[in-house]
Amino acid sequence: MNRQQKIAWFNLIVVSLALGLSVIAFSIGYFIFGVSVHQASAGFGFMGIMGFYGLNPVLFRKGKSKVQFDERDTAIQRKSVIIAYSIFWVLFVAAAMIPWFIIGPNGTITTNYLPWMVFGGMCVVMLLQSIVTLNEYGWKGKNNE
Amino acid sequence: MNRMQKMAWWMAIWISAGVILAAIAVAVLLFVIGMPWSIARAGLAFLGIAGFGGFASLIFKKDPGKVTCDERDRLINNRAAIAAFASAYLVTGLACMLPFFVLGPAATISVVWLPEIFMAAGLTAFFVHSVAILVQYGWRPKGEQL
Repeated sequence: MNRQQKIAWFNLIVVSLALGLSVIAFSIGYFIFGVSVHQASAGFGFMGIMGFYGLNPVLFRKGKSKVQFDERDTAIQRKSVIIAYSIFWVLFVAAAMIPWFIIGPNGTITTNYLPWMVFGGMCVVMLLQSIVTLNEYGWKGKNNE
Repeated sequence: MNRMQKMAWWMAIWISAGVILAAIAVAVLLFVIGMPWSIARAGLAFLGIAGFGGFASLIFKKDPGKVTCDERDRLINNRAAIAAFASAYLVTGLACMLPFFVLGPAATISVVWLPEIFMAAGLTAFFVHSVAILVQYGWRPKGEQL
């Protein structure tokens, strides 16, 4: 398994863990304990796990002696970024237009909704980028790398 | 000048024209005539001019006999797409976070703000994509025959 695959796996696990635990915590708070949506959304504190994303350069250091990134890796990286952002924009437009259609053009939304769109979008981009990278290289290590 | 450069120029010119005319119209209605913002924003209708940019692929058709796009063109296009996405995400981030920090988390804003955010992001993406293509190829023709 090469460095890019390891990073993609790490990111995928971090994002999935953060999203999964957040949704579980929110659901437990709201459905089992019966607290309000406002209080149950404290469960999204688990999104802080996403901060581990920043450890990528420390955990997966570049080797000094080897060439670890060639044209194929660059092409895969570009493809993953383009696919991730393309899908992100579809979801972003949906997140912008659905409230507009539901509430109507004269309605209002809280400003809290806006950061949710940005950070939700960031999660989507990270998740998709990791999935596309792993799909391109293969999900398992190959002995020739 | 090749087909991609021509399309990029076409797109950049129409988007620039739309944005500049819209800004002038809003400024005139707001500051010169003294209309309220709710009416002066009608000047943003000039942004519709940017839609002419979409005719680029119809005006600059592919030549059926020639290879009009090779690996280098694809590389330039991919790089430009990434630059476009990145700058659009920057605009989106600013447009979402500024109201949150300026007005506060308890404030409410018009739902119309949401489509405006992605429209601004879309315009930014197309404009940066065109400029990135022109920067990579060069702004002037270099004897390319395609």
